[in-house]
Amino acid sequence: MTEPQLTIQETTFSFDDFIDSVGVSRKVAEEVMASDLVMIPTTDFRKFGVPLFPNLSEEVYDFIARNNSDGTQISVCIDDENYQELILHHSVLHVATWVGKTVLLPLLGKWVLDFVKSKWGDPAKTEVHFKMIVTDKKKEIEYKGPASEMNGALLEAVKTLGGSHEE
Amino acid sequence: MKSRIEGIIHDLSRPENLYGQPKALAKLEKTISSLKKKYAEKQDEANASLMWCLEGTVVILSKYFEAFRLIKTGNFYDGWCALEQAEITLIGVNRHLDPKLFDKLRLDEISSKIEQWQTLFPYKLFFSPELVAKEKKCSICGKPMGIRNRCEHIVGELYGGEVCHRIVTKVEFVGVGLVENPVQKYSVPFLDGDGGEKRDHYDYTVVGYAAKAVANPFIPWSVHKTKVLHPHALYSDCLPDDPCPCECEEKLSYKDCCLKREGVIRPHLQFHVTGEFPKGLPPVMFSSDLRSRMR
Repeated sequence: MTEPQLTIQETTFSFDDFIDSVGVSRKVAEEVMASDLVMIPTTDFRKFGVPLFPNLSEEVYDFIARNNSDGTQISVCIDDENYQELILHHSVLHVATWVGKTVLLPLLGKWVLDFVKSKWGDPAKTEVHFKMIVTDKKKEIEYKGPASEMNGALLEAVKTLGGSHEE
Repeated sequence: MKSRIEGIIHDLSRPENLYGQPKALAKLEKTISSLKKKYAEKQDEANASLMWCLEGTVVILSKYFEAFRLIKTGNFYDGWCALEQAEITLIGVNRHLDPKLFDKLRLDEISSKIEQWQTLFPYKLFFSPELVAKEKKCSICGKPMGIRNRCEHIVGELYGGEVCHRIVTKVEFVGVGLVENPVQKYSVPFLDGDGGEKRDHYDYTVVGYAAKAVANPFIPWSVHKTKVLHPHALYSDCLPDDPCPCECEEKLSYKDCCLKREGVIRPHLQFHVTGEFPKGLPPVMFSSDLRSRMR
């Protein structure tokens, strides 16, 4: 199990450029632009050439959609027919990158933690690799380590970024 | 049917009585499977799910007993795979079974024992296939799955006594990696023999010793990691600049590490087993590497 690591770095991410690079339909692009939180694919896995989501992204997305009780608009930056998952048989939960505002970082972290608990039980035994791009601060937040310590680390990140999260 | 369920739970909660009784286990499995079918037909989801869990418990016991027998007879890799099958089934059952019943069926105890055995195996790296899943469908309704186009079934949940999962219908193989923590632990790398056949090059001294010391699958036992001093005479072929035979994490040379000490500090495993000490088993056993040095 990797020791908990939190990394915050600058990002030049822009939704317009990303949507162009992935090549989504106009309908999906509009859905993405109107959403609060968006799950995005990786486009650079070993020059594979197509957008890919990590294994279990469909399950995580479905879990979030079913447990989203406060009206947060979520979407995924891919057309249905182009959705593909990269399956690595490594016992680490690679969560797809999400994009949204800083205020939603703890909520996303809570959903991921709840997913881990419901699927495998003890979150201390599951390693998570998590990444979120916070558009209002132009930062990329990355966490690697036990799922049990992720939310504490993400709250620290929110404080560091001067976010407005309230418990 | 209620009394039949109670009878099944009664039998499964005394797993030591089922050890060495494959016919009894097969009979239980058949009874549970038939009950599950009946409950599913009556759309009694709660009892169909319970039957799925009890069916899984029979699989866990069967695989754990099989693993124990295989390890005892020196079929270590096959024993490892049976332990893995038991562990995977346990994770599924643990998700759906009432915690009190989980304890009553002693699945917590079996889970700990599986983990204990697994820690004694020498496997550290595993092959990991890398695949791109292009199309999937639901195992319950067969509907092709899109990220937006979904059915009402949830992966991992039970429907009519069957667990919902995804069936990958179109896949592309990308590569193979080597990982320390695989999703499933079957893919142990082996060397090729001269004729291209699989050659098991692993040193099973530790798990083999435990297999001789533990008489049956339910005897309490534990293992403690400690260190002992070995005489330098055992390492006369090691030069001062060679890596220290203590295999320290710092990767120091022999001269900068144990050569300065009275002897070489080596890892040592101490077993505590309840019951009579097995006849013919030496109280101390060395790894194959050390045995060859001591000849």
